[in-house]
Formats: sequence, C-alpha cells, structure tokens
Amino acid sequence: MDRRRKPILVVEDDPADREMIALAFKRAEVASPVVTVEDGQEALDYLQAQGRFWERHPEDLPAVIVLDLDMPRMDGFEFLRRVKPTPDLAAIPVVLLTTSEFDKDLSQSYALGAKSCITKPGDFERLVEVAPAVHEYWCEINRAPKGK
Amino acid sequence: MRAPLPFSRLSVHRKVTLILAFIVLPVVGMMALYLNTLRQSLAVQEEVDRLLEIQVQTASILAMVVDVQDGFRGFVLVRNEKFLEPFYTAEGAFDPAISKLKQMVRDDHEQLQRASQIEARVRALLQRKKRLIDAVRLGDLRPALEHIESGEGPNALIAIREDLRNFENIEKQHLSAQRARAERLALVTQYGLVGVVIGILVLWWLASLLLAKTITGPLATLTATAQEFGSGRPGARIPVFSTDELGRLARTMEEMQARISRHISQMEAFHAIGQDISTIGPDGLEGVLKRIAETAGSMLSVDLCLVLLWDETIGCWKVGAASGHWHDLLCRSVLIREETPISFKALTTGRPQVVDDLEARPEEVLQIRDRLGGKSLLAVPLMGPKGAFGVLAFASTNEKRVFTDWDVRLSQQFANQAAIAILNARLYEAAQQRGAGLQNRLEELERYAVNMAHDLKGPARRMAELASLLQVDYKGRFDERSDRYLGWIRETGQQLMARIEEVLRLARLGTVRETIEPVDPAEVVREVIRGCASHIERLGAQVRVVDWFPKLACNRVHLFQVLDNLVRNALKFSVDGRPPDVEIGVVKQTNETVLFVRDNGIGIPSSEQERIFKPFERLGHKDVPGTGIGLAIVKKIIELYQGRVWVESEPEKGTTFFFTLPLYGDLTGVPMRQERAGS
Repeated sequence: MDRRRKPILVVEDDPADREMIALAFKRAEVASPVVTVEDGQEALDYLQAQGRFWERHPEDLPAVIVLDLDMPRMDGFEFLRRVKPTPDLAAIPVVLLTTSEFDKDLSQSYALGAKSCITKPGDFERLVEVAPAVHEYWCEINRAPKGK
Repeated sequence: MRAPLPFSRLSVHRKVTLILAFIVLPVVGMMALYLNTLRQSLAVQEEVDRLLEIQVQTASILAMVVDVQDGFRGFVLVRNEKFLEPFYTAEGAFDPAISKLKQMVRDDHEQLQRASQIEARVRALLQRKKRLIDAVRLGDLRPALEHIESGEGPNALIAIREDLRNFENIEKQHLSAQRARAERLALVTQYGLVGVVIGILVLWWLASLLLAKTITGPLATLTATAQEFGSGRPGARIPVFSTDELGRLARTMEEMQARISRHISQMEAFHAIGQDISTIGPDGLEGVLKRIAETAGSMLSVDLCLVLLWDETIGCWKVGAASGHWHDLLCRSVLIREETPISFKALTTGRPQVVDDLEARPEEVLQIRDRLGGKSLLAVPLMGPKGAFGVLAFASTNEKRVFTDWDVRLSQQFANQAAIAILNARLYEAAQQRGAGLQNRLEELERYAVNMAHDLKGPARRMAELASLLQVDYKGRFDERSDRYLGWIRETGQQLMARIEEVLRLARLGTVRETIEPVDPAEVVREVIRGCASHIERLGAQVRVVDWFPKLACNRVHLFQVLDNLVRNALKFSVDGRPPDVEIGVVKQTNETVLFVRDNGIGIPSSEQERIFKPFERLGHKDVPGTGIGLAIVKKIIELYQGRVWVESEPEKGTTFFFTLPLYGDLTGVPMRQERAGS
C-alpha cells in the first residue's frame, strides 16, 4: 500500500455494489487505494483504528469517504452524527452515493456534514466515468486540513 | 322622583270630581244668591201690598169718624134721624176694620199698641156721641149744644187723624227700609254675578290646567311612550310619577316594555345561539353538546341544564353535556330510565314536561331531585326525524322556580334548533370518521407503494449495472447472442429504474410544499425547448411559441414538468412521415386563461381520452418509448393548484392539451391589460 496516498473509504452494505464501486475506481485507474467497509460501524472502526482495523496505519485516514445512506446496523446519518464531534474526522469530506434523487432527506445529510451527493447511475460504464471525477476532485484538487 | 303631592295621591275619578266641583260650586253659590235676592224683592212686594191695605183701612176709619162727626152735627141742628145713618154704619163697620188693622200689624208690638189707642179713642168718641144722641132724643139739647160749642168733637177727630197718620207713617218707614235692603241686595247680586262669571272663567282655566297636568298630560306621555316603543325605540322610564291609575298604568307599561324587551333580546340571543351551537368546531359533537348545555342554561338562567341522549341499545340516558361545573362530573355518565320518569315522559310523549315542585313528587328516587338537588324541572324533548332522541333538562337547584309558558315555548324552540345541531354534528362526525378511515387506508397504500418502489429501485439498478459490468469486463468472451441478452437485461433494468423514479416523483408531488412564485411561462417554455433541442432537430420538428404569456403563480419546476411532459408527448406521437408541428400558446376564455400545447400527431380517440391521465396507460403504443406516467404527473400538478387539464383531439389530425394554472395577477388584482402592457 502506497503510504503517501490517502485511501478512499467506500461504505456500502450491498456486496455487489461494494465490489462494483471498488472495481470502478480500479478501472478508472485512480492512484489512491480503495478501502471498502460494510456499514457505518465498520467505517467508524476504520477511522478510529479499532475492531477489525486495530492494526491500521495511523496515517491511513481516508482522503474521502464514499457513503451509502441506507445500511443495516449503522446507517449513513448515524455515521455522520458520530463523526461530527471529532474535528479531525469531521474534516474528512463525505460524498453520498444514493440510489434515488428522492432517497431519504438529502438536506439532512448535508446538514450533518456531507459535502457532495452522487446518484448511482445504473450503468457500470457511467460509474467508471464518475469514479475518477470523485478521486480527481476530492483527492487531488481539494485541500483537506493536515492530519496529526 | 318628586314627593307626590296630596292631590296626586287621589284617584283619577276623585280628581275629575274635584275639578268639576271647582266649577260647579260657584254656580251653586250664584244661584243661592240670586234666589235670596228674589225672595227679598218678593218680601218688599208683600210689604207694599200690606201698606196699601193698611192705608185703605186707616182711610176708611178716618172717613167713618168724619162722617159720624158731620152726621151728629146735622142731627143736632135739624133733628132729623136721617143724619144718624153714618153713626150706625160706623157702629157696625168699625169693629171689623180695626180688627183687620190689628191683624196686619200683629207682629209689631208698638204698632199694635197704637192701633189699640186708636180703637180706644174711636170707641170713646162713639160712646160720647151715643150718649149725646140719646139725650137729644129725650129732648135735652143742651149737652149736645155744649158739646158742639166746646169743640170737643173736632178735637177728638184731629187726635184720631193724628194717630192714624202716625200709624201709617211708621208702616211707610218699614216699607222704605225694606225696599232699601232689597235694592242693596240686588246690587250685591249684580256685582256677585259678574264676579262669579269671572271666577268661573278663571276656575275653568285653572281646572283645565289641572286636568292637563294630572290626567291628559300623563295620558299623552303614555301614548307617546307607547308609540315610541311600538316603533322600535327601547323602553325607558315613563315620566308619570303619580300614584293614581295613570301612575299605575305607567308602571305597568314600563314593566310590559321591560318584559317585551327581555323577550326580544331573548329571541335575538336565541337566533344567535342557533348559529353558534350549529357550528361544528374542532371539538366536534362533544363541543356542540357542551355549547347547547351552556347556552340553554344561561338562556333560561337555570342552575343546571343537562343534555340527555337516549341510548336505544341499552335503554338508558347518556349525559351528553351539562352546564357549568356539572359537566366534568356528569358528562358521559348514565342515568336509569326509572329514576328519570319526567324526562322519559318528555321523550315518549314528545312534549315538554314541567314540574314546579320536585319535592312534592311521590317517586322514591328522582335522579335530578335526589342526586343533583333539583327543586324544579323543565324537560324538553329533542326531536329528530324519527321522534325524540333526547331531552334538554332544565333544573333549578337553589330554589323552586315556576317555569312560565314563555319559558316552555322558548326552550322548546331552542331544543328544536339544538336537535338539528346535534343530528348535524353526528352526521358530520360519522362522515369524518369514514373519510378519515378511507384517507388513512389510501395514505397507507401510498406509503407502501413508495416504499416498495424504493426497495425495487436498488435491485433494478444493480441488475443493469452488473449486466453492463459483464458486457464491459467480459467483452469478447460472450457470443453475439449472449451479448444481446445482456444488453436487454441492462435496458430492462434501466427502464425499470426510470419507471420507479417516475412513480416516486408522482408520489412526491403534493407531499412537499413547494414555493409558489411568479413564473413567466415564456422562460420555462424556452428551457423546455432547449432540453428537447436534439430531439427536435432529429425529427425536423417545428415548434411555434406565442410571443406573450400571462405570468402564473406556481412553482417553476412544476410548470417545467407540465410543459416538458406535454412537449415531449407532442414530439413523440407523430404521424410517420409528417414532421411534428408543435404550438405552445394561450387562449383567454370567458373567465380563465388557458395554456395549450397543440400537435399534429396521431391524435387520441375520444373513447381513450379519459384514460390517458391515469398512470401507466399508454394506449397501446408500445413501440413508443416512455414510462406512461407523464400525463398522470401533469394532471396531479395541475390539480395541486385546483386547475383543470383536458384534451381535445382528432385521430390522425392532432391533439391539443389545455390546462389552467393560477394567474399571478389574480393575487394582486392587477388587470390583465396592464400586466400585458407592462411585460
């Protein structure tokens, strides 16, 4: 794993979607590594380097989190709420990846700190087009505050 | 109020008698005076007559005495007996004459004495003469001659004459005194008459004043007050303060006015109440019942008013509401029929029941008497279409009360209104419940549909994505047929997604309050055309847009959705080989402004025109792409604004969709002309 590049954290409960998103990033040949987790709880574990991810390298905080809203155990809203009190974690940009433009209440997500929202396109080729755009903007162009 | 004068305390009858007496009394006095005068003059006349008689008598006596004297001298001189005739006459006539004279002065003592003196002198004269005559007959002439020579006879005559004259004079004096008195009295009577006439006039004037003040004045006041009250002026204190019949009449009239005013205000309140209780508020039937109890109670000013509703199924009363603090205590409690026989009688007979004294009732248990402490009760039936369904019970708990006919009539009328209000509220509540039930079910179904659509969308998308992933990742490893099938799977998934997206959009309409803003349809039309530009170019279509639209008051996105759907439809259903010709415009109809989108496409048969606005109805044009939900969205949006959308079409000629949305000018009342000139 390239230590200089911060990973992209993909939070998605559906295995097919998870795989396709990861695949799309790979197809798009983005430089950043992609870490996939199954729900909000795992994502939180990853960020806080606990549970399954206790051995995570401290510098591997993600450059961007790609978040699904509708998930079991801990959904996207709850995840956003949990992340919010910790300034370091709250500074990581969150991009919502939703099924429908009417999915839940987008404004609530934005209020909770989401930075962007993308509708899942329903076509793998289109997904391959979207993935590098996300990487390009959030990992290359966007300037995140320096981590510890 | 002034202290009433003693006079004003008298009855009208006495007053009139007194006032008339004022006038009659002087008349009576005058008559008495006149009668007195008349009597006096009559007395004078009598006196004159008496005096004349006395003069006749004295004259006859004097003549008698003179004749006797003359006859005596003749007899003595010639000795002829013939000369003695007067003497004998006098001897016979003197007695009646003197007694008559005496009779006439019998009341006057002095005169009587004088008459006696005259009598004595005359008798003495006659006796002397008789003796002398006797002596002459005997032949002795000497005493007679001596007598004549001595002049004794004439001297006696003179004395008698003197006496008689004296007697007469005194009588004359009496007469003149009497006459003078009579004259004085006549004068007094004259002045008295003038005085009395003036007095009568003055009294007549005073009496009329008094009459006006005590009788006609108050009567006029009463009449005026009655007229004023009759013409709708409110009753006031009548300024008649006497204690007689008029005063009592005034008090009675005041009382009457007060009562009429009270009744009028009761009637007015009654009508206001009718409206008030009929209004069904958020508190529904319960609120209506409570208002009925309160207003009915205060209308008859009783301590307790109960709305008792008869429950057929259990054969008991249910207390619908009660006035005042009783409400919380009694509301929804149940009363047994046997313990409320009076109300039950009102229910079964349908007629008001009045009991002035509940304590005198023989029943062992009367709920209203024993539990609520009612002293008097008025139970009025609440009449429905199938007879009485309840009772309004008015109870007086503090003291016994006599319910008047008016109370009964008023309460019955009120009960009739209340009954209508209750039935109305019951119907309304039943309808509300039915409606609410239906609404709930519909909303539940809709939520279910939306959730299902949501749940379906993920798998559909995933299916399409996986198919496309296979196509991309395993390109060349599938044969041509498998590749085609994968393409179909992908398209089907995407179609499914699109449809679900449309369903969700339709479901979302109306659930989110969109901002209403002034929208210029011309701008929205431009956006729509821009969105379809490639489409239009490909089809070689012509789109004509009218150069002016009225501003609409709606959500911009909604208008966009409507126009976008209609324009896309117009482009879509074209006749083969005829490039679409679409016209977007506006027509002003009698009282509304209608926007339209017209095409020259395949048209819609009139039998199908109803169906097209329903979701997923596509009229059998399976070859034309689309979700079949566009027109349903159009209809739903238009209906959100209480607008109308309809279609006019002729197969193979074309279709026109018309729709109305609220005009922006409508809100401000700006006339269309100005709007047009300004834009």
